[in-house]
Amino acid sequence: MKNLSRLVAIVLVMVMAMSMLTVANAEGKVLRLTQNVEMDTMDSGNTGDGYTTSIMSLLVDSLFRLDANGVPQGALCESYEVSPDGLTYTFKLRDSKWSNGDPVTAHDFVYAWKRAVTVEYGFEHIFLFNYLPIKNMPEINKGTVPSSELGVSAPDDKTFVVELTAPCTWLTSFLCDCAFGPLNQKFVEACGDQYALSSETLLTCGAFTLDNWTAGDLTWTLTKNPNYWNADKVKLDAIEYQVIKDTQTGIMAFETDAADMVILTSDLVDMYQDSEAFFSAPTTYSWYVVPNFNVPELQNVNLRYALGFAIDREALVTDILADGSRAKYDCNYSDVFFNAAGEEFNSVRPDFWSCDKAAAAKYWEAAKAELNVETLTLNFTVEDSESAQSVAAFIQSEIETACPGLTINLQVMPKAQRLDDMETGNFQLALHRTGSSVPNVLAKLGQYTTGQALNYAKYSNEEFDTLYNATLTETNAEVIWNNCLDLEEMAQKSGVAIPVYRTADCLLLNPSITGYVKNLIGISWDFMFADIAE
Amino acid sequence: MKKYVLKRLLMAVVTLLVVLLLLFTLMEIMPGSPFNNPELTPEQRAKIEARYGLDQPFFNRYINYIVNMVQGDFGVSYNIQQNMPIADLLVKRFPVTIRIGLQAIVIGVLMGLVMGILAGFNHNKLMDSIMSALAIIGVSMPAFAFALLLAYFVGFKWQMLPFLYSAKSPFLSSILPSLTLAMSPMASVARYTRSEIIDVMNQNYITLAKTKGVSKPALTIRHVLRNVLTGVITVIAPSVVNVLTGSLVVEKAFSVPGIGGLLITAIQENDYNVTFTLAFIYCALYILVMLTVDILYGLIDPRIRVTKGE
Amino acid sequence: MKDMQNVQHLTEEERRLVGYNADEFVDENFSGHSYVKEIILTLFANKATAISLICLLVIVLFAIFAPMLSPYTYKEINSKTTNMPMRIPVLEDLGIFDGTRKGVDMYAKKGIEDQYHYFGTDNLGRDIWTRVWVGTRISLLIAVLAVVLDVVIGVTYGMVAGFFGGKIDMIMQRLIEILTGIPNLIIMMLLLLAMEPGIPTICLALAITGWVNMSRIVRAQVLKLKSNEYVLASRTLGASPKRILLKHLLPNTMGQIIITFMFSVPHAIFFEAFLAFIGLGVPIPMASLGTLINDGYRSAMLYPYQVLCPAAVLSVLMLSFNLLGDGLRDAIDPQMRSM
Repeated sequence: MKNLSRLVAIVLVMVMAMSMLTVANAEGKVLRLTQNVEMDTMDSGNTGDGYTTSIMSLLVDSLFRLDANGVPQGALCESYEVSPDGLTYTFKLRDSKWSNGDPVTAHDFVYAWKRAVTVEYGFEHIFLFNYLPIKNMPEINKGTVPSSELGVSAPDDKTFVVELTAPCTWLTSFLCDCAFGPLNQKFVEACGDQYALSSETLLTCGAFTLDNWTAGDLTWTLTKNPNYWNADKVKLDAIEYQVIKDTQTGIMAFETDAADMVILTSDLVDMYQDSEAFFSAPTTYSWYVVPNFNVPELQNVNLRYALGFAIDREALVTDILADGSRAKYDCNYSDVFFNAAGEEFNSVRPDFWSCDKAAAAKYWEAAKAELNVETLTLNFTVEDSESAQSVAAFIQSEIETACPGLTINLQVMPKAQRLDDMETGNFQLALHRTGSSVPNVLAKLGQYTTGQALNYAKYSNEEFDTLYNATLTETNAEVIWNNCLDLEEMAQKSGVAIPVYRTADCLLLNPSITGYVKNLIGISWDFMFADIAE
Repeated sequence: MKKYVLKRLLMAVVTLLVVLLLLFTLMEIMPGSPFNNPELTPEQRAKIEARYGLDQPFFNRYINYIVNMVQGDFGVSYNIQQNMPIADLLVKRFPVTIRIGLQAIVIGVLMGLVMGILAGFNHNKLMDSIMSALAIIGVSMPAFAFALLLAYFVGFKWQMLPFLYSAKSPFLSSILPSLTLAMSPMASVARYTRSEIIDVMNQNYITLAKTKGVSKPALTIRHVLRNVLTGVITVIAPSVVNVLTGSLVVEKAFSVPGIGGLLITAIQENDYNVTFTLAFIYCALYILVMLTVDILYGLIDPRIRVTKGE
Repeated sequence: MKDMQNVQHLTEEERRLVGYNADEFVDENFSGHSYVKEIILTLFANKATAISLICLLVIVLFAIFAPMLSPYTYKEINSKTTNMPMRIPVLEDLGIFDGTRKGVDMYAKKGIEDQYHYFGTDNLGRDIWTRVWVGTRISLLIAVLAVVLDVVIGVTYGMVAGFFGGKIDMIMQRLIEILTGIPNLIIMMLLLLAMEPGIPTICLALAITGWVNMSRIVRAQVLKLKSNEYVLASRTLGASPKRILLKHLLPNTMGQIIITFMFSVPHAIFFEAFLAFIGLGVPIPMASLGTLINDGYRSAMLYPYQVLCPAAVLSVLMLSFNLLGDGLRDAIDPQMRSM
């Protein structure tokens, strides 16, 4: 017995000793970040996932980079000129090198852009190029013109020219996205199908390099690139990434100081409400209840109003979500569109929507009378993520309580199926999330025009279409502003999309991390100039 | 024996083909596309699908897949790891899952045997009740409850073992996941061993050996275990495949880079190639394990070989 | 009394050696009890089995009546009373389950001192006590329905294969081999994604993957009984296969069927919980024990009672079924222990 317990003691000590020998971290200032999905690809023409673009922006510089005030600063672009009619942009590139020694030239940009819009390659992020009025882009989309005819050119190694068909005031901030970055043609074509699947088949020219990585890894490290043109402003020596899928495991990692940033979900927000480490920032992702206008009952505007006024959005975001999400009453994006006087678009006029249960009941009575029914059942299509289900259950309860006789059936399905159902019109009500990739409210309002691909509600209003088309060709900024305000009012009053809430990124962030930039649009997290306070 | 094995292998090939056909059909019926960025228009989505050959007729794709598979080309992933050849994707993850799975089985069987033996030899005494209770708890508690308990207390509160899998210390960080996975086989083995031992202990030849004065350990090893072993193999055979192919729950909780949750994610994300490849692997493994069990059974228990009864 | 089971298979000689009075023994066993009564007596002799049967009955009673008697419904959302701690009337005077969290009386804070939530509330303010019992109802319903379907398909298949033997048996066995070659998870996932998620679909998915076990056991039993004299006698007398199957073989297989039934139910409950964990459980706002555990798991570090309450009920349920099955098996057919 004594021998046995001694043996057990020795084994325990050995185990503990071994567990202490497991550290082999990078030297110097190391930031440890986590995320809950793997990177999907390092091909800058194809990546769009928020985490991946943040990482890409550290590996491959683009023309511009947004600073802490959201103003685009030149990255690979040293200076630029705009033609008087606003249709031609000439970018002068600074000296920079790829990780294999090749210089970064304007041809790299031309190659990358033309490659991204080549439809046969099947890059998902071709839609980003659709937002820009680049010459020949619509024709390339239709297939009438080859992608080599895209309106970009490189008169010499250091000059990159972009030709537009209409002025675009937000071009420089939009060009911060990695999809508009350069690609080394020789290298990419030599790698063929293997491009960007491992460190060996990836070229970088940014502030950090990526070594010892293969696609699908759950951990990887970015190391500082000493040859970067702006290297002296980069404070970090390395950034370590780890994929942690379970929120509670992430919190444990944060608490044991194994990570500096972890995701916090609504379920666990109460643990850290008053903590220094609690971080929450709004995003442009917004959730709407989308009615299908092809369903006869939903064509009754009073029914749509009843649905929208019954939802207590404030209770939803304060009591249930509690992660910094905000109630939403408009049909486009907040904090994105400003006029010359600096006013924000959604603050200029009062919103039509609000929470008014008495009004909802009255609209429901009116709808019942007009539709000649006493009860009604509507299907509510929801994707199967946990937050979506909680929100949907809440909305169901709100509507059913405020409108007695109205029954909402929840239909839960995977996201791919939900999108498919919305596209084919196989739904009655759906909980839909949209986000903004562009700082352009008109583009969002365009989604409510007749026949637009993303107009899942199949809403059609001639007045709306006419005003929208007129605004597209308008050049006077004030007219555009007022037209957009009118369009927004029409969209809200039509009930084409009932706004619910605007999501927030909610995390635990080590308070000693400073110098990071959190953007609303484009690259959400920018750790380029981050620093760790001692 | 050879004929038997060959016949089983032939059945295996037929099964695999049928399974793949079934899967192809079901994925065909399922709505949705692997490319579901909400900002893509349907035309753009159609073009992307065409690029990957998803617009070809059903049988063309089926035959193509099988032809490619035989040559070792399992296709590329569509959205889990875009454009990555699946063979490469799995080659890194598979060993981790297998390793944790094997560890779990070894731990499970050993601990189960010990528990069962202790319970069986002390039938109707306190030790029996304790061991039986533990075993039944092992069968009744869901895996993620164990995972959370172990991670929280052993990993976080008492900081005895790492609760995140890390390639830097593969052995240590695989202990907690293996323990969690081992609970279920351990419980089944314990319960089975216990009842078998109780049965065997009451047999005539044991009573005879006892009266002859054979000591308890010798009794155990020579007579009891041999009989129990055949049954144990049958008991754990089905769980072997489940454990080897990893558990979604365990891999999610401990951040293990394995293939555990990959199948479920692939089906939900409509990543067809990953689904087919993984399903193929699961089936092949299952059939292999069953075949091995049958052969082992025949080897260990001569009665089976002789009678060849079903 | 409890040692009775140990000596049942010994010969009379050996019993005397061990010290049992032959008369005592004979009185107990051959005093004219019917088969069923004998089973029930043996069953209750085993303490563990008796306790588990009582637990099971208690749970079923709660599942039926608790939601009816509760002032809350299972889907009543109240955003003002989210994540309330447990509060049980009598126990709160003892200092436990008194609705406080970190010393603060949450019920007073929210101004609902007159309300009781025995198991607290979840993140949407729904009463967990009501949800747990409604969930138990649904879990039991799904499990029992699935296993009944299991039994119907499996028994038919097994009896036909076992009785007719020969070529029919061989084909049927090959079919089973192909079917079992497909991993259960894949069948279930694809079924559930292709059809509308709901109780019937889940039952169907569970049944389709579970009937093979039942058919194997029935087939083995039929093979064993087939060679008995009374079957031969029936056949010579010209009885149709259907009559032989239903009148002679089925009743004698009933014991095995009941035992397998008892063990399949916890297996089905468990699997349903697993399906809930991967997101394929009963659709919201309905609840099953599985979906409740899955929901509570997400905040287990912060509000452990949200996962512990349904998990406790699930564990007791499964434990009871398993122990009951053990006891039944010991009573009906001790030789079946090798299953």
